[in-house]
Amino acid sequence: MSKNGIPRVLLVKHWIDIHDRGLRLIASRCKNAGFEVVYASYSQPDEVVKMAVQEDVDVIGMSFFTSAYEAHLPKVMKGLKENNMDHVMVVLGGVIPDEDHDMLKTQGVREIYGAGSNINGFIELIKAEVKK
Amino acid sequence: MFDEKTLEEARKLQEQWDQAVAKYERDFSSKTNSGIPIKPVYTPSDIQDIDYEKDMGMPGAYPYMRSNYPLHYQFQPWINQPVHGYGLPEDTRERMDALTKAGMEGYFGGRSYNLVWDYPGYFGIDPDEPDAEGYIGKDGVSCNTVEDIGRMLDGMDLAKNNIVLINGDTLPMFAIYIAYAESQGVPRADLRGNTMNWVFTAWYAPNFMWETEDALKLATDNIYFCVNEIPRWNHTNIQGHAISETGADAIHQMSFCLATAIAVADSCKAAGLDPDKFMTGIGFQIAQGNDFFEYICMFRAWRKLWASIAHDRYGCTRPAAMHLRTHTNTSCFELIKQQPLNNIIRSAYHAMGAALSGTTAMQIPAYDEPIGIPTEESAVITLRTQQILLHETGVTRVSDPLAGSYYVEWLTRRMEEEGKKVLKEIEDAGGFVKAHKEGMLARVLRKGCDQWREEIDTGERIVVGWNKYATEEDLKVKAFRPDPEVARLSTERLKDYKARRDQAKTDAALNGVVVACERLKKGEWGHVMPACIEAAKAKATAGEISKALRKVMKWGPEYNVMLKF
Repeated sequence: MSKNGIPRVLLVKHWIDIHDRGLRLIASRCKNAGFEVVYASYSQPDEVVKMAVQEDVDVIGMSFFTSAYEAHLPKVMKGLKENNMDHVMVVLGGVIPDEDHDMLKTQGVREIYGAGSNINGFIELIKAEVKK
Repeated sequence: MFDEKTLEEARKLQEQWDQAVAKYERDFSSKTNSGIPIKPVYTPSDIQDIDYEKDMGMPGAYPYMRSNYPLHYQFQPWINQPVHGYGLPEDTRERMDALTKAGMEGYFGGRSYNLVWDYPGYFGIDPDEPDAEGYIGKDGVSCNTVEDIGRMLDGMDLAKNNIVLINGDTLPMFAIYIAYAESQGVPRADLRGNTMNWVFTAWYAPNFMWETEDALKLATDNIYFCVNEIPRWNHTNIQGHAISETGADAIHQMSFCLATAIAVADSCKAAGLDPDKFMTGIGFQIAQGNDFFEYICMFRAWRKLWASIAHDRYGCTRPAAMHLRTHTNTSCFELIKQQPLNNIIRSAYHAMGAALSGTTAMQIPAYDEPIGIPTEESAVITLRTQQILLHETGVTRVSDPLAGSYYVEWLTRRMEEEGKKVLKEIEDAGGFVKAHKEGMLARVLRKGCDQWREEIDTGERIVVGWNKYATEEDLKVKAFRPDPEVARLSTERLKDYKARRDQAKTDAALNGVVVACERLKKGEWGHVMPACIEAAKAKATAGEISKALRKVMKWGPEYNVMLKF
């Protein structure tokens, strides 16, 4: 849970997924909004869960350039559950086709962002939903 | 540039113009995307200091600002070089054939196949490794062995066509390609095409491949091999497009590329290579973006700066060693998801700018790339965009057609001055390697990226369909998806390939790669690529060769870089 009412946000990308312009922008906007930000690369999805536990985050933002979310997301969601981290809000970003959004939301993804999404909307969502 | 009489007339006419616009009582000055202040009109007075012969000259004459060649498109159009690659090698072959059928052309009857590898292939990861999961054959082709590359290139004339190998760690797949060509009876000296050789930096991410100094050694050793054994091969591609996509404006795209190329060329010179020989294999992948005139002027200034660097810093005498070889990759970050068909129009303007700049090869992103990887239809439209430009608009009739425009010549001069300024800043900071490692270059890019988005969010920068003329319509364009079976098939093929080889022979050849790297570390050039080719011939996979290199050459910072702020 957040300390002193400041949301803690973990932003991650697989280390071979080099398209990080969007995620870095989100990091910088989260920082400007006063959130605590951890920005990291991972190799295996269980590392995302480990970092989330270790850093006690409220939000996880995962960025994918067109692929791998269908392979990585279920593992992250399962790991969060096993570590009693179900309360963590998981959002995805990147080039994720609209046709996949329902499938991802069914697995527990709160929101999916892509090119041209409203970043302030994301900031407001965190402010509104992260429990103080 | 002008006699005193013309300049006097220009001053008088300017006064009249000033009076004519005074009634508007507004400031009509503006700025380019790089921040260069622009007046609403330019006259002979703005370019009076330019010496036609010394500063500009004719196309095909030093300093090559106007063109590398006396005649360009009138004689030989730019190369169509659309990037393609997905799924299994035979899937990619289908796309190659579709583009060929659609009229894709290169130089002198050959074609240029601009083949992109999937992410695992980019980073030397085989499909049977855990890190490949989810990425196999998705954003590029899954092609890992001599047999795989044969599935993609079967029956193709390798001495006539350019094969462009787009992957990150470069050497393993290049070795596999050479091993394949030689198995088909094509001597390596006859091959033509490109390797990326950009192992020393990944601009776009926290992850590097090899640590900068070791990476530069590998890149240099690849060049050493090419200069001696494959003289026509374009060994190095300096990635301006990626620098632009990461947040560089036109000035910084040009300057950071030039600084990178200087680091590579310095390293080659230190290895004892002749600049007149190795400079001909260095090319630049250049982004052409929204600011129409600024990018054209950047391009002209870039040709001039590179020629002067080749001439003054490296003492080149061959024109080919002073030419700026360019592969235009028009802007991707300026294409948007909303109303995606508009992206076709955006890219057409970018392509028009590249043609007016005199580029030598062109690649246009497909309109559906903000949604997914291109469909065959959208990939063919990128080719049609080039063909319409070439055959219907008439922009190819005259070399450097914008030359002599007061505005264009003035802005070209400004781009040249700004470029020199940034190059000096980098030199003063200790050169490219130091500036890169200490984050000086990355900071500029991050700032550029943040600022661009800030301007869109505040409405200062208008993007049609996004922050103006937006609509609520559902997206009609559907994402293209490669066959979901690709991962399984590619992994099975790899397993089968390994089962059929003489493991002791493969292991010995891989050990040869390790030994060659140890020699490279001691300053003995020219052994790594031959060892990689032997490994490929002994049926080592791309991932295995990459890992052999990594046993000696320091692989970049740990992947799990964690930044807290």
